[in-house]
Amino acid sequence: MNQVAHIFRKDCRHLWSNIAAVLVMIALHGYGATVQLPTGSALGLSPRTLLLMLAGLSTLLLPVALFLLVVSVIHEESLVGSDHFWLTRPYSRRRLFLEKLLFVLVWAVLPMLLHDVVLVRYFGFSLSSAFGLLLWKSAQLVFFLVVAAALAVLSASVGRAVVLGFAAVLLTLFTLYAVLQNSGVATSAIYVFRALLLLAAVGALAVVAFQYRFRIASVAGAIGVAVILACALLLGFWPQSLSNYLERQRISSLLQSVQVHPDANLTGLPRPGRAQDAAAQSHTVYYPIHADGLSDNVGFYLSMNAEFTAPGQKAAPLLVGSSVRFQPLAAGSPRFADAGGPDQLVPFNLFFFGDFERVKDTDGTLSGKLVLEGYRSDVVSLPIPPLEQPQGFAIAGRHCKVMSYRRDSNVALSFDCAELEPGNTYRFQVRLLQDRQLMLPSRSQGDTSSAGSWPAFLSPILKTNYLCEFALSDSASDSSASSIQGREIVVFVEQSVGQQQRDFRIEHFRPADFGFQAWQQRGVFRPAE
Amino acid sequence: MSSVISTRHLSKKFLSSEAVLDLNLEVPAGSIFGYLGPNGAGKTTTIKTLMNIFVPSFGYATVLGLDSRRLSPERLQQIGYVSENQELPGWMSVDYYLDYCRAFYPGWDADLCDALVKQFDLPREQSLKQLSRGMRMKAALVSAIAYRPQLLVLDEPFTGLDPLVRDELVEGILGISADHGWTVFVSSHDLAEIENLVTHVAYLDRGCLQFSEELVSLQDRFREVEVTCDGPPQAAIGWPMTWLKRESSGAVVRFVVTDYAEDRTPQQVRSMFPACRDLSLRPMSLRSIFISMAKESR
Repeated sequence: MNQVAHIFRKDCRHLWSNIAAVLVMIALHGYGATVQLPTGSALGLSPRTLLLMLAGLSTLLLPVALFLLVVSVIHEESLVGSDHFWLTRPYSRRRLFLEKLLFVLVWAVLPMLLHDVVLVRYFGFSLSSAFGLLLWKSAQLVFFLVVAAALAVLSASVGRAVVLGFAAVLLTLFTLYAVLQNSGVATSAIYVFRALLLLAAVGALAVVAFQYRFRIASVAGAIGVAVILACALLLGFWPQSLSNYLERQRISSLLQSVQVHPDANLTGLPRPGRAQDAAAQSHTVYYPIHADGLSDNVGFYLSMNAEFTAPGQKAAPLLVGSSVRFQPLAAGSPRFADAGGPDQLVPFNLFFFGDFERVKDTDGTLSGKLVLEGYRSDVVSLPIPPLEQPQGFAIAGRHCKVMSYRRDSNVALSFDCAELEPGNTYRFQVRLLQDRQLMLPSRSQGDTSSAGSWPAFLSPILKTNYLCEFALSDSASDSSASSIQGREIVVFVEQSVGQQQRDFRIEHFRPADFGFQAWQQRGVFRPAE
Repeated sequence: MSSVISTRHLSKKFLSSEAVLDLNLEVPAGSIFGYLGPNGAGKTTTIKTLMNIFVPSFGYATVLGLDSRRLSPERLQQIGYVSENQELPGWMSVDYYLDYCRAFYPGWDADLCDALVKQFDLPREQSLKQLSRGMRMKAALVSAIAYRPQLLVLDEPFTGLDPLVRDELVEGILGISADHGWTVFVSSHDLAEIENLVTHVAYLDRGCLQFSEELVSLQDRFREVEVTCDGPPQAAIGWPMTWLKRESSGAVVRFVVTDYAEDRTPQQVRSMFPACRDLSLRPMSLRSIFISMAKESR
């Protein structure tokens, strides 16, 4: 242990500039994550501007600094070459390996973990709620560091490590291309990604451990190439059935409890959206579907992969004509136009236009899979905050701040929200409410957070900004703060609860009988409000 | 006398080239062993194999009684190693370097270290990369002998050094090894550098060991022969394999005898050259022996 501490002190002394660079980058990145640029105002040239620019650059520079730190500390006692002074000194390889581990832990993993903890706390999330995320982030960081270490143990200088990294990327791309060409199977499921990450990390660790034990770069390099090949094969021949199984395990019980029934006898249905193209509309068929077991704030989008089959006819593939949302009317979301209800008339389009004429008078069977993409919606109402005074609120796991300000004759609302990575907000919508009158924004722009930021290990927090403007009536558009008093903001957020496929089958489906006009004549629609 | 280094059929191959071939070597304890050979002969490869930097392709070597492939950190505490090519941590100051090395050796002798630093006039605060090549070698030597190793391995330690520094190093090594009875294994391609240093010598050429013996016996058996004949020299049939580097100039012929025996060789030469008028057999310096061996092998 003394030897570990002794080498550790030496490395700290020599690599203080690398350590300082990493710590400064981490601090800058943390600062950049916490600071919020004032909306709509231009920044002049100032020390703060410079700091903000550096904070912005830290997303790129921090991985570089971490890479250099790992490579440099391993190259302190390089494992490639035969002229290094340490090779003839009484170094224990096991202790040397432990020392490098300790160094990376102390100067890379722990500072990043601390950075993550500070951010999590700063944005008001509890550590217990973010525990799994922090572990996952650390695992991703360790993966990055282990790959850097694998490049370092196979190279004698930083430059060579970078060149080797490029070579490894090219080899990976080439291998993936070759394998995917042959297998023809590619899947982007998150499980494949995680399995690849795990395999690559284990492989990189094997390369590092082998080099520390045997110091034979050619064999260690061969292990690395074998791992790349194994990853490509895993990706190429990953069984889809395994993805499906794992996907089923992941689906929220909120979606699993939902039952979907095609039912031709349903009435009181909302009018479906109609195709703008009259020709397309004339070839669209509809069928009522009822959803059971939906919780108040849970709904789903329906899509489909099906085909129409009839005796003596070639099968005709169908798709859902337009996005259909199933959601109980009892939820707070009816204020949002597309909230739908548990019963919907679902439009189906024949995949090929010519098919309609061919099969329209045929009695056949419509069968295939319904794809349910579940979501959970949340709605909060809050009084509109006084001009330029931020007000905090929480919705659907997001911690947000809203600020109002005037923009010409409009009132603009800026929402700065933070949520834990990888983010799970598919829709973010805002309405203004006064005297029970709902007002749509005249303009809006903003982010969804369905994808994490790159590099994924850098921050546990995903920040999003949403901006909307409301054109107030003339009487209210004076510049005084009183113009916004008495108004309420209604915020609507949707989160994913997973995706699931269900088999379905409708017998005696005669397309010509299920056009829009036919359903209208049957009086299935609820009266217009 | 027991062997500190011993190799049996040691071979080291790099891809298709054979750097060391079937090497059988014994380095007696307490000797100063010169390991000689031209550049590319395989000296450094042998040393790196002995130090477990390279793994033998065939055969094995023992160092301090242990298989070289199993040289543990504890055993390396007994071995000092200095090489012309060794990459030292240039960012360290001399003081910090010695201090850093000290922690690895329980037997580190701080007084000896200080004495050597003074003897070699090393600038303590200067970083290693700022030192001249000679000074760096001195620093490396201090760090390799301050813990009183049983075996000191020096790989071409004097290459490129000016004569003054070289003499200082030689004196330093001689003094220390004489005082403490260490074994010194030193490789060189220039015999003049180590002629006054070694007690034993081995000669390697193209990976093959040509001879390995005590310096005294080597010098005893090598003679430079000059034969002056009455006319153009005519050698009898049956030129011995042990006579090297034959050169003729007019009535004079010169060559090297590698198996000199006082009672036998003059007679052999005279019978080889019946027209011999004058015969001289001069002892050779180690450098001359080395050169004649090298030329012969080419």
